[in-house]
Parts: sequence; C-alpha cells; structure tokens
Amino acid sequence: MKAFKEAFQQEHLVLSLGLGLFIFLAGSQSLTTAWMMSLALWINVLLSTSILFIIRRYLTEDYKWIFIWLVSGSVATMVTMLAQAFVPGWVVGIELYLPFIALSGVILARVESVVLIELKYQTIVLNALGSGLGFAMLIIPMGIMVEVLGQGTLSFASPMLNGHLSPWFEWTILPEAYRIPIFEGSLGAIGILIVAALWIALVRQIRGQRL
Amino acid sequence: MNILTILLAGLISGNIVLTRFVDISLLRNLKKLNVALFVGFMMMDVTLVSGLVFYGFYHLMLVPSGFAYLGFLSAIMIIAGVSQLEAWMIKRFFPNWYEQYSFYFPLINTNAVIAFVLMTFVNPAIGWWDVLVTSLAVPLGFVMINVLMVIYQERLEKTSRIPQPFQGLSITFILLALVAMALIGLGGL
Repeated sequence: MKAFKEAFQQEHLVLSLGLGLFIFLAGSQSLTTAWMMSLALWINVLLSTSILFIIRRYLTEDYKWIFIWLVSGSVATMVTMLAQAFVPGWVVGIELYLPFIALSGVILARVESVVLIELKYQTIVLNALGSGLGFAMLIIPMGIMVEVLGQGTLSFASPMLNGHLSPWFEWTILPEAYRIPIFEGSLGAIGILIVAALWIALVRQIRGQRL
Repeated sequence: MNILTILLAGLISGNIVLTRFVDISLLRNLKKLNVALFVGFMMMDVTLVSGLVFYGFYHLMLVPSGFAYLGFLSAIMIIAGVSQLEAWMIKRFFPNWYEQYSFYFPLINTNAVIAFVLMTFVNPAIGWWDVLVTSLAVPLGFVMINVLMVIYQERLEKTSRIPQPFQGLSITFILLALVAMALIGLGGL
C-alpha cells in the first residue's frame, strides 16, 4: 500500500516538476481524450514494468537503456494499435500522441526503477496502479475544465467511430459569448491550475503561521 | 511545399511547442541562454541526420516489407544511435564543450521533438527536400521559444511584482499560452 500511495502522490510531480507534461497537455483537451490518455498511460506503465521485471536479471549496465527504450516503445506501439482497433472513438485527436507515452518522464522513471531496484512484483503492480490513478486524477479534471471553459460543452464520446452511435452524453454548459479563450488550449489552463494549487498552499502556510 | 512555407510553419504557425506541446518540460531545464542554444543546435543536428536515415529506412525497407507499424520503434532507436554517435564525436573533437554540456546529452536521447518530427516523415507525399527543411525548421522553432522563455524568465526574476503563487512554472505556462494566442493570429501566413 505504501508503494501505491507513493506512486499516487508522486503523480503531482506533473505539476511541480513537469514530468510527463507533454502527454498531460496533449491529453487534457477534453474529458474523452483525458480518459483515454490516462487509460493508455496506466496500461503502458503496467505492461512495460512487468516485461522489464521479467528480463531485468539479463540486462547489463551498458545496454539497459536500449532495452528500456525497446520495451517501452514496443508496448506503446502495441497499445496505440489496439486502441485504434477496439476503441477508435476514444482515440480521435490523440492518436499521434499515444506512442509518445513511451518517451514521457512518468514511464521512464518507473521502468528505470524496476531495472535498478530489487522490487517484488506486487510492489511494481501497486506502483503502476498508483501512477495511473494519480495521473487520471489530475488529467481528467483538467480535461473537464478545458472543455467546459474553453469550448462550453461537456461530452464523452462513444468508443466506436460508427457514425450511427451518438456520444454517451453531450451537454452545452456555457453559451458561446461566455467561453474563455485562454482555456481553449491546455497551456493557459495548466498555468491557472498551478496558480490555484500554490495559492491554496500559501493560504494554508499563512494560517499555520498565525496559529 | 516550398521552403519558406515549411520554415514559417515550423517557426510560427505550426510551432511544435505551442501547437503540439511537445517536450514542453524541457523548457524548465534549459534556463541559460548558452545552454538553450547549444542543446537547440544539437537537436537540429540530430534531427537532420536521424530524419534522413529514418526516411530512407522507413520508405525503402519497412514499408515494402510490410513492417510499417514498426516506424515509431525504429525512430526511437535511430535517434538514440545518432545522438550517442554525436555525443561521442563531441567528446572526441570538442572536449571542452563535452565537459560543459554533457549533463544535457541524455535530454536529446529521449527527445520527443525529434521523434515527433520523424513520425511526420511517414507520410509518402513528403520528399527528401521536405525532410531536410522540416528537420531544420521544427527544432529551430523549439530553439526560438526556448530562447524567448529564457529571456522572459531572466526579466521576471529581476522584478518583485509577481505574486508568490504565480512565480516559477505557473507564470511560464501563462506566458506560453499568451504567446500561443498571439501566434495563432499569424496562422494565415
């Protein structure tokens, strides 16, 4: 549970240190893309760390990075192809970005720890679950915020691209005149999210000092 | 596409950092102008060489043999190989530069900008000339934004008017968002 908690809390490194920001920003365009990106990240972390756990005894120091890139790149390619085959409706807009999960700091940090440190498989699985959940808890609210404030709608696409299937839900939240342009892309939204997080931390610090 | 169109797209309307958010976290690591310029030009170099190698390998070997789905994997391995080769050459011929900038070489090994550029070369409509110009234009766009951010951050550090929650990463992202909105207006070029 400690491994799960640590991995879950560490995903806030996305905001404080900027690890995995590329996939975070690319995926937080809407609720659907945020959901798909967090699901893809979770599967990538789980599979990559599992495969490297099996082969780690045979990796030498000189060649470990080649195998890390080979494994994470292969898993990312496989996950992208499976997603395009089975849930194409969820992949619209992010199919170009899904393979790049293999190059994000989030994945590379996890897989390197599997290779360098002797861990039990149970710890690795809990770590992967924590990473995925922590990432999802950041990216999904961010996706909702970007979609609602930037586009004025909130929708969740059907996983199949079949034109006869309508989205699972589609609500218009804000009229067009009230949409905020800076939220249309994720850059402004993440800046404001970080401001809000730091402001809350600052207020807590001041209250703590007064007590 | 002519050279000017590709150059303008790489620098402004299709800037890889502002429109695609590629490798945006790298901007936090490159805080000095000399480092930003060195890493930027190393990236251009690696993108050019690996772009040409990948283009030939993909279209002449992978596609005819039915292994086009291995494009991303082969792109990563080619980038890793070329960047290691260039690091070795810098260590051999320019030891002073290697000593000063060796810390930043791993940032180029797993660089998403280079991989992103290479993945655009899978389009069969792109020719060798387009590969050459795109390999130079897109990293140049990254260098431009990086230099801009270094200058902004240096100026912001000197002012005390920024509230504490806005300092650091948050003001950087808000600035990037404003620059992105400004550049959208030039998209008509």
